[in-house]
Amino acid sequence: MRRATAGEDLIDETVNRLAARLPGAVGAGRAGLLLEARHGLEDAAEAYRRAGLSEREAAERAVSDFGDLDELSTDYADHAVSGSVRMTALVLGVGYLVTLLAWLVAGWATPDRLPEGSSWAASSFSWIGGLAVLTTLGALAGVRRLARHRGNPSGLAWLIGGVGLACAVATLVAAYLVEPWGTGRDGSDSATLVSGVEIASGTIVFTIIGCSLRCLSLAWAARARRRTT
Amino acid sequence: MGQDRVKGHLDGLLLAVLESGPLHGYAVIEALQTRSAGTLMLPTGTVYPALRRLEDAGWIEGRWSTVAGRKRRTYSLTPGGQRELQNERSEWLRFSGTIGTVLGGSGQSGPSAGYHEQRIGAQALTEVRP
Repeated sequence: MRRATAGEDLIDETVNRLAARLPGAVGAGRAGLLLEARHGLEDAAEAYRRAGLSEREAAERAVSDFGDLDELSTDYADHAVSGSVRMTALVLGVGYLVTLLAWLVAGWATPDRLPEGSSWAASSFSWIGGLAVLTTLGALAGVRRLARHRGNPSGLAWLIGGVGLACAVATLVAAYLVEPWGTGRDGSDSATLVSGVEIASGTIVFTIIGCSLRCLSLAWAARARRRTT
Repeated sequence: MGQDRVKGHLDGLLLAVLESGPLHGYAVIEALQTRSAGTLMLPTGTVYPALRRLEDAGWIEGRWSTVAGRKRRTYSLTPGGQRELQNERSEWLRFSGTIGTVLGGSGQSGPSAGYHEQRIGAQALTEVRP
């Protein structure tokens, strides 16, 4: 394995220090932005090397040109929060559309197999789904608007994370009221279809919970970071 | 040129640089420095999140590609970005024209007679209102 040079070490250290200042540990958008920053530093160091500086000096100049990490980290953190808002919004909106569509198809295919629980609880799924889709559209429009006006996306992250969590919990409660979990079904094809839709819906709801919690935690971390800088 | 002044116009500068064709992040920084003959002193680290923000705004679009053996994100202007660039240019011309008029010095030591006439007219209108 090739040993990293002193210049590469300095660039690695800079990128790692920037990463440590960002909220959240994972995320494709965050990783992509850090990769871009790393390549930018490497390009700058290479340009200084071509101009005659030593490897170490070239890396130092590139890192110095990059800017103060504490000041930069706010913009990088805002990007991470915006990415999380967009991801949560898409999972929420698309997730509920798919869930409602799946139940609609299940209703047409096997009308006699659907649970016969409280009608108000059953009809609440449409309202929750409608709210989720509207919130998604609002959040996506909000991300675009904030980007155009250099706004702080934390407020939007609190909103979409909160709505996502509320919709998911309300869905689980309504689902339990319609038909308590663990109710047995016979092994017919139609019962299998309904059970499949139930499992898919449950998976989507728990994915929404995960994304919403991540969005809220990023908003919390970004707020704490903003207070300390 | 001061960083704060440049930051206020960063969006327009980035859009202007991308008007000539798609570029990756570091090429954008180089183009900014070349066009300004090295007078735009901006921390290079501010450019990458700014490009992502412009992408979120729908003014540019980014695609990953491999250039010279390195994975890079290349950005290009969208039709919306082109319109925003025209807006930025118009706004800048208006702003710089106004500031230039004041800073340039017209030889007048105070507001023009027209200004005073307007003030008196406005005052008269206020007094007539119940």
